[in-house]
Amino acid sequence: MEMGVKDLIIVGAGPAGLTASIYASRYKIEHQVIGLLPGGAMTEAYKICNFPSEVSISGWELAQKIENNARQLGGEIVAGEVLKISGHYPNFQVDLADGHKLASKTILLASGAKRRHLGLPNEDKFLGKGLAYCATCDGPFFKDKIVGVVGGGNCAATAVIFLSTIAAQVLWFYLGSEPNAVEPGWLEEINKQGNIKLMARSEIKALLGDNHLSGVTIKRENKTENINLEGLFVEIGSDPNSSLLKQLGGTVNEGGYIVVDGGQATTIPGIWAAGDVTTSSNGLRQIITACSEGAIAADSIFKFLQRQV
Amino acid sequence: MAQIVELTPANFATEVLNSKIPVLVDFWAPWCGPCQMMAPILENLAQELGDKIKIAKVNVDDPDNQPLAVEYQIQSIPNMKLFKNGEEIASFIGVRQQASLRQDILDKLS
Repeated sequence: MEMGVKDLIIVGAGPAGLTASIYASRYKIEHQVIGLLPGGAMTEAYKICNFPSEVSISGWELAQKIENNARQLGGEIVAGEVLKISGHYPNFQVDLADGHKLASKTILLASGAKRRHLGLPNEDKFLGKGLAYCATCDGPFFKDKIVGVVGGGNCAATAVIFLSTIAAQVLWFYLGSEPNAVEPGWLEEINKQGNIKLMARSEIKALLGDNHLSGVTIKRENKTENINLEGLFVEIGSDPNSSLLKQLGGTVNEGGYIVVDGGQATTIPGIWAAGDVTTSSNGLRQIITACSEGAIAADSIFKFLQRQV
Repeated sequence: MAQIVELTPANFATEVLNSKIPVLVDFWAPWCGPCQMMAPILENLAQELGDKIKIAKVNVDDPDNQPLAVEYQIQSIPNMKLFKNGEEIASFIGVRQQASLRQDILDKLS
């Protein structure tokens, strides 16, 4: 790994980080992308139907396309985890989990968000024994079984659709009387499937089973009931990975999202942010908005670096 | 240079159950993003731990490997099982960072 001072280190290799790398390469900004997985959270998406160039594509395929573009343009994408950022413009130090320390003039945080867990006491015990957080990863193990999906958003909806092609029956648990802000296109697809049962106003209160998940206790309209199932997929949203900025004293909002200006700059000079970790794009956290924010951030950084020479 | 061994039902007993050194078996599939995330971490770990441990992989997407997925009750991947003297002594599920996985493996083997 290069130990010289980069112009830019991009933390995160999801659509925001990779698009920023594409723009940075074309702007001839010497940069490196550090991320756990090229593509980030989008790699778990079963089907993406709202990216302009694709009618329908899996998250993994789209991630590979974007990664290939970034690499072809010269982007250096390194698998790694950033533990800490210290210093200030133009002397930031980036500490990686493997012990490497990198130096950079500027930083772009495109660190995304992490999945929420249910917060039930025996959640860890059932992980891998019926409880899962990635439908595309673990769904194929539940062929012809009864499974549940918890959560009322778009991610839950796509998990429900994906699982309905594998499982005997999918029970969809959500808190409201209707799923929360789910695209009508997904709801239309769900209504076409005969093996999906909508469980509105349902809160998961307990996970049941000895060695393997065998059911859940739900609270529904003030009544408690036990429901048998063999798999439960948790899709209840995510929280922003903004701790690297918080350690430096940067501003985040009440939800922990990094506050940025129109050019994606954070409140720390020399640090920008893009993608799901920010307050940008009116809170619409999509692949295309992450790409857009990555492009804007790279442009801002280019102009900033030009002003400094 | 430590190589990662590809496992099938045909070589599982020789490479894992009858291995003279402990074996970490990674159950994975090409469709699984977090499994792809673990791949370079396991390669680094194979280099780092050298002769102390063998690292091997089972592609559960391969129909030929289904008996192994069923026998070891794989329902969530990546799922890394640690074998010593032919016995499964630990299981690590989901993406793990290299340093903490290495420490947990060494703790289980000590």
